[in-house]
Amino acid sequence: MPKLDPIPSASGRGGGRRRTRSVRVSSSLAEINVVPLVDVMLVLLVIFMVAAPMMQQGYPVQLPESRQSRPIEAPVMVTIPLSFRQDQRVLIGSESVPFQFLAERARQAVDARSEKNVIIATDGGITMAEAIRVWDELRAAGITQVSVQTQPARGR
Amino acid sequence: MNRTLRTLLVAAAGVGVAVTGGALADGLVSAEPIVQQQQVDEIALALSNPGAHPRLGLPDFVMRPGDPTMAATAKTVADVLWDDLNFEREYYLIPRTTTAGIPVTPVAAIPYQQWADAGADVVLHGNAYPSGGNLVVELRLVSVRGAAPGAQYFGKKYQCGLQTARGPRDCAHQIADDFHWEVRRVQGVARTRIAFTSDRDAVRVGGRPNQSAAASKEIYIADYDGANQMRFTANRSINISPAWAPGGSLLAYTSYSTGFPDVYVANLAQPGRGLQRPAAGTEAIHNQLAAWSPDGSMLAFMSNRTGDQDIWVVNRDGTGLRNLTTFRGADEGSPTWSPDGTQLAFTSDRAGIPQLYTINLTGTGTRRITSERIDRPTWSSLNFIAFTIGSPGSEIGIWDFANPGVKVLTAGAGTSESPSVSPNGRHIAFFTTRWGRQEIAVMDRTGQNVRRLTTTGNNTYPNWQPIPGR
Repeated sequence: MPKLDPIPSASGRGGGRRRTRSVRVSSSLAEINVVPLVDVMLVLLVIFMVAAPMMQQGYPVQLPESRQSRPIEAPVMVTIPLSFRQDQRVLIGSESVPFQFLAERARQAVDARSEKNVIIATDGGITMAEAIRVWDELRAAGITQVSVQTQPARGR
Repeated sequence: MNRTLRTLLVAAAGVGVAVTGGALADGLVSAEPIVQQQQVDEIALALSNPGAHPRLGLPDFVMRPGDPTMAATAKTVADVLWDDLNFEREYYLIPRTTTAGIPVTPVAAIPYQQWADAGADVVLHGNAYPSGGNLVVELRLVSVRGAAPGAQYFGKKYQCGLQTARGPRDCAHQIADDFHWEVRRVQGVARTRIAFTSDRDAVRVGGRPNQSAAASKEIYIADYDGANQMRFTANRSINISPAWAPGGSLLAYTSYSTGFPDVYVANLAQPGRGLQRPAAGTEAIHNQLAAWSPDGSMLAFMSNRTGDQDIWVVNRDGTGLRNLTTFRGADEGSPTWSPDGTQLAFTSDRAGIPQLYTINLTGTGTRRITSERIDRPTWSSLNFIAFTIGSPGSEIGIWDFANPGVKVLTAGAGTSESPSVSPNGRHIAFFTTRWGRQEIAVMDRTGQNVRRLTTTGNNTYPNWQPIPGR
């Protein structure tokens, strides 16, 4: 079912249209059926539109080599759960540690690290006084930077 | 029979100690393994931190109460042992003050959970008791973590002779070296000493006019950890750059005691007597900066006997004197021998500034190693050369033949000069001005863990004793 209607030309010149019509009328069976082609092209277009943002990459650089560099380290997490009040234990990473050995264990945790920093995750129910006790022990262990982990406020 | 032989061998490794096998000895008298049913042959630790050093706790030794003197001695042994083990960094040593609250119990009742809470992977448990004037220490390395806490990796019984005040410390040093060898196959240096030059007892040097303004400097000897510092020379002159002979019983040094610099060889057992002068200096011939060949048969030194400063070698008895560096119009200095004794490294200013060269003992094959300004090179048995690099603002650097290139180990604070490498190649002694005056310090080969050994006077030219008796 070849379409006989002329495709509107962008330029809209009369002469061009007339010539096109005369060719199509004379040999409609030889014309390429572009509808499946357009279908396929549209599908491909959608695929690439979806995929294009995922293909965002940095600029390709050949990184310099160094014998002195160290891998970037994940920070040490110190968690003060609400149960700290009862059992005087905190978590370094995932290991439960009694408060009396906290300074030593924190020193062990940052021993081989170039940056002596930890992140404290404190339960909201822990008082400032309790958090400061833990903080003091970490400072005694030679940890120079202590950060407090929070979560973004919901609502407003 | 086998055990007796082994006992004798370990005992013979003592530092200048006459081992009689009885109660009259000092330091380590004997060492024998403790065999237990649950002894583990394979040293495979359940580590809390794979890839890092195992963490070791060292509690006080278990002692029967009622003998405060012996208890104090045992505490000294434990403290020094902790320090010696910490020095080699084969283990992360948990500070003894941190674990002081953990109860001291017999080996069967070690509170594993408390040690694990303190972060320990293993505990070095000690059981001590007096025996005929000696202190017997039974040491066991016990796991406190993993599937089988209580597994024993090491057990040995040591007898410490306590004849002099040095006894407990020397014994702990020898236990540490034996432990490192048995468990880690590491040659420890805890029983070695360091010789150095100091002006701490300075007097004005009399006599010759060209030195009358100088203050005297004498040779001193300290344990590797800075303890037991003692004066070795006493001639009220200038004595510098000591050099231990292999075996650690002879010491060569440069002395101005006759008015001109010459190389002297002294016996550690009888300081001040039987001095030898193999380089045969005179008013006109000045010899300095001696270095022993690895087999102890020859000395290399710097001498002006052909006009400019050259490197000369001579047999220990004074025969076979010859010039290695016949290059004219340049000064060569600071010789040091390669580990196999076939080459020497030295500094030469033939290219304008003092740079590092090597030469074969035959006098051929001179090769420049670096183009930096180098002084006081010292060739380690592990085939790297440590040296002073740059001037002024000098630092300690090393050149590793396995990985060629200059690596600077110190940075910033003060100047650091004149390195000497420990016999196992893992530590470097040097002198530094970072604390104000010139002080001896020791650091790891990586440049970390700097430890200060001296606090009085100006202290220079450290030289690390080879393993005694080797």
